[in-house]
This record gives sequence, C-alpha cells and structure tokens, in this order.
Amino acid sequence: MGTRASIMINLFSLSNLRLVLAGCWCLGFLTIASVLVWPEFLTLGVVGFAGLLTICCVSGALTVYRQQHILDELCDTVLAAAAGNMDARISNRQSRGKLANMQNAVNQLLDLTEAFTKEAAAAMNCASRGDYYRKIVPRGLRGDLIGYAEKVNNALDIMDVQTKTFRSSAGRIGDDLKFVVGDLSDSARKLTSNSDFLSQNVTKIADQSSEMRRAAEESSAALDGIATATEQFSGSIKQIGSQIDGSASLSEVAVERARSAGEHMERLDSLATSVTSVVKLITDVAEQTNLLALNATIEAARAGEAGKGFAVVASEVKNLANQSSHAAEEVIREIGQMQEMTREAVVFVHEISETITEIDNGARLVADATREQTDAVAEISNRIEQAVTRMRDIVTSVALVASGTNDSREVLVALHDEANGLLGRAESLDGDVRNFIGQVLDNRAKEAVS
Amino acid sequence: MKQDNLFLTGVERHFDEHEIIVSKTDLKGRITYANDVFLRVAGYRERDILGQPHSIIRHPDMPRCVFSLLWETIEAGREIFAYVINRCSNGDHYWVLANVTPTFGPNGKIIGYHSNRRVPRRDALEKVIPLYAALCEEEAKERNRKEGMARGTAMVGKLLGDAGIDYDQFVFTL
Repeated sequence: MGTRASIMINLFSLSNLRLVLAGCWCLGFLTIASVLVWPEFLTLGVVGFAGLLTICCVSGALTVYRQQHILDELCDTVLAAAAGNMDARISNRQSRGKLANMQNAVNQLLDLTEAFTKEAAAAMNCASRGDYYRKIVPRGLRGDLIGYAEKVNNALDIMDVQTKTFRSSAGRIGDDLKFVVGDLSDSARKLTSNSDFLSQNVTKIADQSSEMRRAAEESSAALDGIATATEQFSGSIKQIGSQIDGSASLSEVAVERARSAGEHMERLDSLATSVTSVVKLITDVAEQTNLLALNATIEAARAGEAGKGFAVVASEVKNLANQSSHAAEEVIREIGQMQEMTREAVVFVHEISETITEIDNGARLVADATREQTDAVAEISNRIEQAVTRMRDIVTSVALVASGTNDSREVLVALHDEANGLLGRAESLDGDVRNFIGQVLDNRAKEAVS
Repeated sequence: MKQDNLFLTGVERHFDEHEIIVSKTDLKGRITYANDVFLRVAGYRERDILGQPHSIIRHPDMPRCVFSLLWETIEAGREIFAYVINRCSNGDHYWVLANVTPTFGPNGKIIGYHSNRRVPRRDALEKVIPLYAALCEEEAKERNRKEGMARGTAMVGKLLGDAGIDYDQFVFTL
C-alpha cells in the first residue's frame, strides 16, 4: 500500500505535472503538425487535442489539490515558527522532490534553531548557578550558528575565569574579614570584660580612697594631737631638766652641809675626849678626897671624943667623894656612849654625803639624758610637723584620686557601652560576612536545594 | 517486550559531524517527529516510525539504569546528556551523544520530549563502551529487570560518589 501511495503522490507532484504537461504539449504540437500535413485527419486531431487538453487540466487540478495540502501544512509550520513556536515541525513529508526538500529544509531550520536556542538556554541556566562546564555543543550546528555558539562559549569561559577569580578573591577577603571580625569580636569581648573589671576596681579604689581619706584625716587629727602632746612633753621635760639642775645645786649644798656636820661631829668627839680627861681629873680628885676622908676618919678615931664630929664630916666628905666618883663614872660612860654615837653619826654623815654625791651624779646623768630627750623630742616634734604637712598633702591627693576615680568610672561605663555596641556590630558584621561568603561560595549548594 | 534477542549485525553506522539526529516524542515516549537524519541513519521511513515507542531503536548494549536516569531527569523538567547506542532497523548500530530536553507548553507543563543527538567523540566512547558493558553485566546479575536496574543505578551512584562529581559534570568530563 505504501508503494502505491508513493506512486500516487509522485503522479501528482509538481515535477511529474511538469513532465505530463510537457508530454501533452509535445503531443498537441504533433497533433497540430499532423493535421496541417494531413488535413483529412482534422476531426481525429481535434478530438486528440481535446483529450490531451483534458488530461492536462485533470492532472493539473489534481496536482494543485494535492500540493495545496502540503503547502498549507508548510505554511502553517512556517507561520508557527515565525510566531516563535520552535516545537512546530512538518510530519508526513514528501519522500522526494522540491517540496520534500523544502519540508526537510524547514524542519532542519527549526531543528537547528531549537537546538541552538535550547543549548544556549541550558548553558545560561547552568551559568546562572555559577557552573560554566555546560557549553553550547557546537557539533551538529551549521553555518553562522557555529560562530555564535563559539562566541557564547568564549563568553562563558571568560565568565568562568572571572567568577573563579572573584570567588577566590572574595573567599580570601571573606577569610581575612572573618579573622578580622573574629579578632574584633574577641577584642570587644575582652574590652567589655576588662572595662567591667576596671570598673569594679575603680569602684574599689573609690571606696578605698574615701576610706583612705577618712583615715588620713583621722591620722592628721591624731598627728595634731601628738604634736600638741609633744610640745607639752617637751615643756615638762625642760621643767624636769631645770628642776634636776636645781636639785643638783641643792645636793651640793647638802654635801657641803654634811661635810660641815661631820667636822662638827669630829670636834664634838675631841671635845668629849677633853671632857673625859676633865672627868678623870674629877675622879682622881674624888679618890684622893676619899683617901683624905679615910685618913680623917682614922685621925678622928684617934682623937676620940673630940674627933667624933670630925668623923661625921669625914664620912660626909667620903660620901660626897664617892658620889662624885660615881657621877664621874656616869659622865665617862655617858660621854663614851656619846662619843660612840658621834662616831656613828660621823659615819652616817659620810654615808649621807656619799649618797648625796651619788644622787647628784644620778641627777647629772638624768639632766644629761633629759637634755638629750629634749633634743629628741624637738626632733620628734619637727618630724611630726612635717608629717602633719605631708598628711594634709595626702588628704588633698586622696581627694583628687577619689574625684579622678569617679571620672574614670564614668569613662569606663561609657567604654563598656561602646565595647558592647562594638561587639554587637562585630557580631552583625560576622553574620554579614558569613552570609556574603556563603552566598559567594555556596551558590551551587543553594541552587541544588532549590 | 524484551528485545535482548534482537538481530544485530555488529556494523556501526556514522553520520556527519554537522548533522543532528532529532526526534520528538509525546509524554509516553511515542515518536511524533523524526528528522531526515534520524530516518536515514536508523533506516526507517517516516510513516513507519511515527507513533512508535522510542524504544524501537533501543540497543541491547544499553544499560537500563541510564534510561531510568534519563526519564527521571527529563520528567523532572531538566535536560540530560547521555551517550547512547541505538539499533538500526536492519540490526546495524550507531552511537550518539543525546541531549534530551522536555518541551514545555504555554502553561509551563511538559507536553513532550525532544532529543538532539550528535556525533560522539571517539575518545569519550572508548570510556563509555567499557562502562556500559560493566553496567550491563551488573544489571544482568539480577533476573528481575527492576532489581538489575537498581544494581546498575547503585553502581553509577558509587562511581560518581567516588569521583565526587554529579552526573552532568561527569558526562562533560568524558
């Protein structure tokens, strides 16, 4: 059936029609020529001519009808293609002939155009994801399309290189930025914690400096008290010194007086010795008186009665002599005791004198020590005055420190806020940088997901 | 419709580097258009092939997993490149580098598929032929066709995974 259909189609193809018409034209020419040569065949010639004419008309009409259908399809396809429909093609094509060639040519044109367009679209789509390996495949393309494909592919190569360069630079910059941002974040974090730490310390310093100020003021007051006390102490030491000086001269007087008392005692001793010799004389007188009384008694006894009165006197004298003797012995004993006591007194006076001398020496030492103390106290007083002055300076300085630390605290609070702000900005920058790098480097991954 | 017992001559046909074999199919893979190069190389007349399934030119040396990947890709609306060996009507064969794309209708839906096939580079074929042979061998290990195809797909997946590239890049490196 296929073969017969192709013969039918071939019968009504334009080239066949041309053959048929040429044949008919030749036959018609022959018919006319024959009629001119042999006029008796005129009727036959007219009939033959009419027959040929009919054949020409019928085959022409059939061919035109057949070709019209092919031309319509061709026209529709070309119009669709002209409207941008790349998918349109001519099917059920002629196997041979000019129309077949034309059908194939239109299909080929559309095949090439669609292939090129789809290739370009696919390559661009791939490039839009950041991949440049997908090129327009130049094989199978023809004519100008090859040149255009090469141009597109060259552009893709250049884009690939530029993108790689950009990505590597962006990656490097991104890495650098990440480092910098990381350092910045660390620094800001450290700054925050350090400013916190400093702030706490400054608070402590402020507390301590006010404590110090109070202590310094108290010390200053205490030093003032000490200075006053030292001056008083210095005064009393001076007084003690002068009193000791006074007591030294008094002790000299006492020593002098003790010595003179000793001399008096010694004179008293010698006087007592002289009294003793006088008393001895009295004793001798009393003994001789007693002997005389004894002799008188004896003589009175011899005188008898006459001597009786005398014997009484003699006995009275004897009694007086005995009493004198007794009294003298008493005096001698008393004087002996007195002498003994005087000697003891002399010894005591000596001892007193020595004691006073020792006291005097002690007092001199005390006086010397007191003088040294006076000097020392004066030095102390001087130093205390300096200390008071220094302490006042310290109080002033501490007050300055306190106000300075207050200022510092305010600055540190501001610094802390700044550091916090910086940290926030650094973190946001870090996010931006990460996003940026992610966008630059992970385009493909993102595209793959979408 | 297993065609493994198809008659093969072992003769390879070639077409010109400046030619493209073009065919179009409907959504079910039935041929709606074949250009003159297709008809000439595959040895069919247009009216014999229109309406036929595209698998009419399938060659038994072609791993099933490649077609599986091909259909999976184009049904997802993406283009695919594949080296394909096709069988001519007389049992000859020819190699092509096929670029199959979906054709979208005015509403954006896929209305058919479009395959442009070019002369493949010989050096690429030298890599493809043993690879396809290995895949076919792998697929033949299973009696069940689906399981065999799964084995082939797994093998392709492993090869690509080892190379660290996706299929599209892989095809372009051949």
